[in-house]
Amino acid sequence: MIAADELATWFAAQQEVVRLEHVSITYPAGDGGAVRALNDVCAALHAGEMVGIFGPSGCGKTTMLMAAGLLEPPTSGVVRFGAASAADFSTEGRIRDFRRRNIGFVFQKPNLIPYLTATENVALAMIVDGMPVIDASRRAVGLLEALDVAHRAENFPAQLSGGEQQRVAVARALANEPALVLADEPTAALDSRRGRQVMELLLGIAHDRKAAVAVVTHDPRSVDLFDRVLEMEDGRIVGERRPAMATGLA
Amino acid sequence: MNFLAWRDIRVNLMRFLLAAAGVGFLLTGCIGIIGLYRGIVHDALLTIDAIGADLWVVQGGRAGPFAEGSAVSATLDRRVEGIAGARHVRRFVQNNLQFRINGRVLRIAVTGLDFPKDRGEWLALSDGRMIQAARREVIADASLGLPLGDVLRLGRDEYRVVGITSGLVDMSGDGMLFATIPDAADIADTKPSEAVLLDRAQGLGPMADRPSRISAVILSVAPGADAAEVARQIAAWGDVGVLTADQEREVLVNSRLWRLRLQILFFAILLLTVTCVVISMTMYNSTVEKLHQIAMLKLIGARDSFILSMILQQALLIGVAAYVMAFGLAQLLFPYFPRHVELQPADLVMIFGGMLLACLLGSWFGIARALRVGAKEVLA
Repeated sequence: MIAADELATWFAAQQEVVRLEHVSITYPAGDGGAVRALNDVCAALHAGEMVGIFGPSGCGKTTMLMAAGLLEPPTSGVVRFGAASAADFSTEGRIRDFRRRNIGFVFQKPNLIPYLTATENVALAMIVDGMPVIDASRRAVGLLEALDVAHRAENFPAQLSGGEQQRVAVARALANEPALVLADEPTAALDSRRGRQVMELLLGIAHDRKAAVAVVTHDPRSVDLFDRVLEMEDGRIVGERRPAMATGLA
Repeated sequence: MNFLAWRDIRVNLMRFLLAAAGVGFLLTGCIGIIGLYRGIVHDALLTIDAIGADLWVVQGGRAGPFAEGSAVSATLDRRVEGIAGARHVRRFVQNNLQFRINGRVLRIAVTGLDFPKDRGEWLALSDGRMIQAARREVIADASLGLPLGDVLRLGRDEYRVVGITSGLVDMSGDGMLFATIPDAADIADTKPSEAVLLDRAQGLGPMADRPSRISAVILSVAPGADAAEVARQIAAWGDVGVLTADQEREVLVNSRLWRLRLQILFFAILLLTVTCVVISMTMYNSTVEKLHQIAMLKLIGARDSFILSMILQQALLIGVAAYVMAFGLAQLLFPYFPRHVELQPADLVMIFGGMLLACLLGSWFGIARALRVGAKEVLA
């Protein structure tokens, strides 16, 4: 069994953060049949790159993200984090320990806890990892400063704009310095200017913090920011392009 | 203190306070009903404890005079005095009667003192003096609301209140009024004129309305004498029974009061069950409201213990706040209740324990629901 801490150290030294090897995910359908959401997907995410996952609705983009984020176990195939496969995490508790220290999530909705301030929302990710509240709060303020939303540190989510809420959500995703950041439609609820800002923020995380960032999106407006783009269709990856080529997807 | 539990309470303070108030009122009821039972037992044992007699000589085959009726000869005390080892032999009689005094209906436990052997020395007077005359003087408990020096008409005669006691009531909560045994008999056996005339018409003498029976004879045992031997000798007569003070207490608590005891136990269990249900509902609803947040917590890697402690600590905080409120209300309200409500530390500890148990059971439903939530439900 490989400990989450050891893997975090391993990530720091390796380029490849996560690899999906022939991953398929099948759900039972209402008529007694089965729906194959992912079909033999092979992909890898590397430290320091931001990868865009594009495709029509229902093509399996979010399911792929869930597989990479250990939220959905593959029906077949393997999700590898360095030397370890997801199957090595024998319990839900171990999966959560790993996720807490190595994976950050950003969603279309910020999913902030309404009765916590911006600082507390960010600090929460560190508090559940055992960090004392005072230390976590201090670090959370630092992250909010880095994301240019420190002036809202003591405000509750309802007092923040959509863009500010999303920045707080990004700060929370970065709280434990994850090697992998998974974002599912993070700009869908934002106007184009704020959406662009969030995408640039994620790009900065990939390039400056050397995290692997995967972004599921329908929005082609920021496609030029991605280092790599994966195109999906019917649960499969049907294309892989560099940004210049991907721009044509629009 | 769990970070989230505290923040949730801070922001949803009104919901927390309302839940605590609901549980608090239930706990107040629970404390009250157990306190009422303790008060009834306390009141029931008051006379036995205050008189301080070692033995009670009662009607044969009966467990009187409190647990059931008892009538013995009014001259039984003279026989008992003849037993070696018996001392301070006194007659005892007690009747619960109802009178209209100063426009108020008063229920009174009229208790006879065997004057002049017993002037009420064993009574703790809060005002006035003991009985000094064989007739027409009474000592009244403060709960009757009769002022010192007041003259009452009880039956055919008038009686002057010469002393006041405090907190002396019988098992029914009726305040005690102490008179000499002949006066107590007069007060109890008052008959309307027509009834006296009818007795006379039937050839019954003028003393036909005079009682020849009392409730019991009480005695203390001389130093060095064996109480069991004295009791054995008296019981050997066959026409009377002998109970020790401990047996009187046991008969009262385990015989006369056992149904009440059982009923109060059921009520207490019922109230604690309702408390448990209220806490369960509160915690379950509160958890269901937070399912998305709980999924988010799991997504960011929060352990089950963190989520569990959040729910459990909120439930316990509701319980503790409710208990503090219930304790305060009990101290504030119960002294004004018509019956004595006795709060015993052991009962308060037991209710606190029951409340903690109710919180644990109540939060279980919320915890069970929270543990079923998957992290991927954030995407739902």
